[in-house]
Amino acid sequence: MRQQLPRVPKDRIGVIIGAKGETSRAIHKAAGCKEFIIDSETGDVDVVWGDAGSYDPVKAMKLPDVVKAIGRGMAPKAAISLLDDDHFFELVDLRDYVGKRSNQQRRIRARIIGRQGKIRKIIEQLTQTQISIYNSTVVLMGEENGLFAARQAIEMLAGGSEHGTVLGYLERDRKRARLDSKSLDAHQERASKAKPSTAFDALVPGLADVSQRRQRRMKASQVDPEDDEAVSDMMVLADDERIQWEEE
Amino acid sequence: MSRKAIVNIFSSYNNILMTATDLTGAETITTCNGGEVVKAGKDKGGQFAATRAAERMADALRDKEFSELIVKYRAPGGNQSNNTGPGAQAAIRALTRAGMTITRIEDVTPIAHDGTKKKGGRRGRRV
Repeated sequence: MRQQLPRVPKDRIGVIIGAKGETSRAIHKAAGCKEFIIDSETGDVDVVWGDAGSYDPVKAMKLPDVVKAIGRGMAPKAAISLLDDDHFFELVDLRDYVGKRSNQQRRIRARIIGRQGKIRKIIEQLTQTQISIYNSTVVLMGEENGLFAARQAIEMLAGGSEHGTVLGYLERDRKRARLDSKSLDAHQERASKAKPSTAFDALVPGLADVSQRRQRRMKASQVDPEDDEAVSDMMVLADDERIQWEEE
Repeated sequence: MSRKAIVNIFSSYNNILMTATDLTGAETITTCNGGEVVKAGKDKGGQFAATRAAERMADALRDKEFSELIVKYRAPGGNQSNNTGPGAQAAIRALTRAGMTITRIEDVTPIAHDGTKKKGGRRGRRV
């Protein structure tokens, strides 16, 4: 089945093909499609999928996003990681906020990027996302929760909020996310996701216990002594721990 | 004999709606949505709700002996957001996990070729 993908702008055709077709081959391999065809004159991108079952439908769903991301200024390597299950793609059009006047678009772009890329870097770090700004569009990539906050931040900036307000919002969001991850629901969800022991662990009796103990000790050694909460967490004994002492 | 169905997925940030129809698209086989499977309203659009809803849908389809699917997914589109919510991908993944064969997958988000004014007013959305 042949499918047309979004067209790539002229100045990004070279990027999506790569040196001697390297990038296009990498995309082909990552997507698991039958053919991946780029017209180097017009920038048309086509993909041919094999029979049903020979490819992953979720990748077929996300491949247009990958092409769109590369066409919108994202680095190919980062864009290919979009095919992973927990990476999402998001596109914000600045024209929705300031209209089509190029001066205004430029002003908003500058606000999002900041001096020496400072604001963009802060948003990327606080939300664990990747941001690319190209003409009138902003492409965001990352995991679900951070992505939502990042989009909110970009929309706030485009809508005219001050930098301080936006960074304050991101800081608050991060604090809330940290609290959420400590709540009972998140804990239960994580427990149900915990991976079962590998076959090798089962072969050697006691190995799983030892590795668990080692991991715990490793974690305990990295606790920040200033942080009272973390210290009290560390002091709680696990099931197989006990305190021993001897009289001198 | 395996029968073919169309699964229409509407995925926004706030909810996910799924409808399975026959190939004409006129006869509904089964429906499911995010609100049926989670308790809290804020979770309706999430990945977990989508997975649960898709599993339910796959069960209902299997009972009626459908095993091949054409998936059509869409975001709100028009003068609203063109990005699908996080649920769409999770739902499709869950459908394949449940043993359904997806023969075709298609994005049917309505794209405005200049339509009506976006909601929010002159001064934008105020939070």
